[in-house]
Amino acid sequence: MDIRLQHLMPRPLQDTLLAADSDIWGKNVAFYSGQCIKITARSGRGKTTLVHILTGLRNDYSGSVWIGNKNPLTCGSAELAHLRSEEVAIVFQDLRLFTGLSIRENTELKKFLPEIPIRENTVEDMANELSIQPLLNQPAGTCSYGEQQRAAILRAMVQPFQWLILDEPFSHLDEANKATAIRLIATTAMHRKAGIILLDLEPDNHFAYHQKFQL
Amino acid sequence: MHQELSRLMGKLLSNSSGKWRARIGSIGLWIAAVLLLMAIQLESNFSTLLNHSNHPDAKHEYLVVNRQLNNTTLNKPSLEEEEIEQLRKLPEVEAVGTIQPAYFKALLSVDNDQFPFQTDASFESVPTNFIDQLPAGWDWKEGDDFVPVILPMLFLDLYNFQFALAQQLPQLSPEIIQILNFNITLTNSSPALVLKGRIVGTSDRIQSLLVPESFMNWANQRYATEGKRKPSRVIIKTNDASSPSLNHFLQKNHLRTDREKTRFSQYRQVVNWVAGIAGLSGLLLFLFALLVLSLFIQLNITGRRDEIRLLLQLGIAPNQLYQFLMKKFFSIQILLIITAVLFVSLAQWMLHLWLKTQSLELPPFISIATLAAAFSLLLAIGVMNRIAIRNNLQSR
Repeated sequence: MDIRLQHLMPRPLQDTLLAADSDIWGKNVAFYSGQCIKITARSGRGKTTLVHILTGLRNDYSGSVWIGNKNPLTCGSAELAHLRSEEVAIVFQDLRLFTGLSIRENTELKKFLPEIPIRENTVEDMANELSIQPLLNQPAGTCSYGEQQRAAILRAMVQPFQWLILDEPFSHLDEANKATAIRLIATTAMHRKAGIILLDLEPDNHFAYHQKFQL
Repeated sequence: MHQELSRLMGKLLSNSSGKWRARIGSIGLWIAAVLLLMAIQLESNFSTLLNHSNHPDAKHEYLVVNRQLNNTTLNKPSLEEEEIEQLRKLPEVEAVGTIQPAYFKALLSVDNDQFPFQTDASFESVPTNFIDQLPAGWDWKEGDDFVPVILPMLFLDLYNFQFALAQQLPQLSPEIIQILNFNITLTNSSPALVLKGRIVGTSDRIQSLLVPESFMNWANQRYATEGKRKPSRVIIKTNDASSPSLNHFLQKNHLRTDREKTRFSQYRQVVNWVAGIAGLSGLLLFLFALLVLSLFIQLNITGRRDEIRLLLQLGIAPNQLYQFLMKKFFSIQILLIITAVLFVSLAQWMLHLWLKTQSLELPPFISIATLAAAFSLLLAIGVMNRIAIRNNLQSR
């Protein structure tokens, strides 16, 4: 499932974005199925806006987005729900965990959302790899930001996906935890033949990127 | 929806704030449902009590209607065609028959040494379908010299229990009087026309000496002392003699009928008022409860707007959310209506047992109308839930 961006331009950021050169805003861009994509941008260049546009959370833009044959702008609510629960997984920059639920419950919510939950790798296995297994039954709100970030990664991984979108996913992780998370993400994405889009402030070599863009 | 997902959503969307509103709304809904169902059951019970017999004819009542006689209507007893037509159009009235009086003088006499008898008589006739027990041979055609007569039981009772006792005359059974032949002399003609007559049956319904309509038409035409007059009495077949609207019509038009048969009308009006007030209070309370519950739903959804937004962002379909919320709210309301139905059923059962001791028969179960009303309430609540949930979800 390829992703195509055609002359995409968020209306509220139009003036700011047109003033600077971008590989994505206002251009024709394609992310091909199974590729690793790196998008680098300074603060305020619209990273989170792009994530929201890709998942149909925003519609205040010109141009068009195609995820496979779906345009999030014209998708019905059921199609959009299917896109978010079975085709595109996201690690939000602000994590968006339910603080009142335990980490296990946060992940199970996502795990049981698809019609057929995936059976590979149990939550325990992945949590163990991310070193948050002992925290699984702890309310997410009581965990540190770094632990919550790993919980958000875990939640994204337990759903089926063809694209994994990561919005500054390692900002609060130390090098060891970062390396573990990258390894788990890469292995899982490869196993599922899924693509990765990593949006971050700085260039990096976390994954073997097929394409790199400046936002 | 997966059971675990449902549990997690329940945990996320439970809201402690506004619970008292839900409780007040639920109590109000329950009381409203009980009041409404009881009002409908009350009406149903009263109808059952009025029509307690299973005999098809027992569901009908025959009323003889005539003008109320007072100083202004004296000598003007006739009924206008328009009044009869209005009577015919009343929903409770199934048929109207004109009681045709005789406009000729007649003399009844018995040529019997043992039972010499002679009296002036006045006949009336009604359409045959208004006669309670139609005797065999109830027919007359021109040229026949035999006229069948129906005697009201009231006349025979008056004779047997008053006149015969006082005058020391023999008492007569209905069977005996049916073997007595007598002469009917129409005295207006010259020479007087003498016909044979015999009592062929008795009637509890119409307090008149009845002859066949064909004879009455013929005799009125030939021997009437004056021209044709408007009828002054009619007989109506009604399916509801206690109907307040029928009684209102009679009173408004200065007409009267057997009060004994319409006395239920006054009770019925009281029952209608009680049921009406209970029903109206129930309806108002029901609408108020619906308002409170819809506000509760709005509050519940608004109070959890962040969770709902995040659930939608994570990929829950709005329809799944709608179904979950519908189940959450509606299941309690269904339970409330079921308990209200059970409560009214229990009350009906106890009423049935108590009335049995008073020799009155009421069904032990609630009526179909009450059950249908309970389904209608559920439908109304379901529609309210649907609108409230959809509107509030769309605005998220």
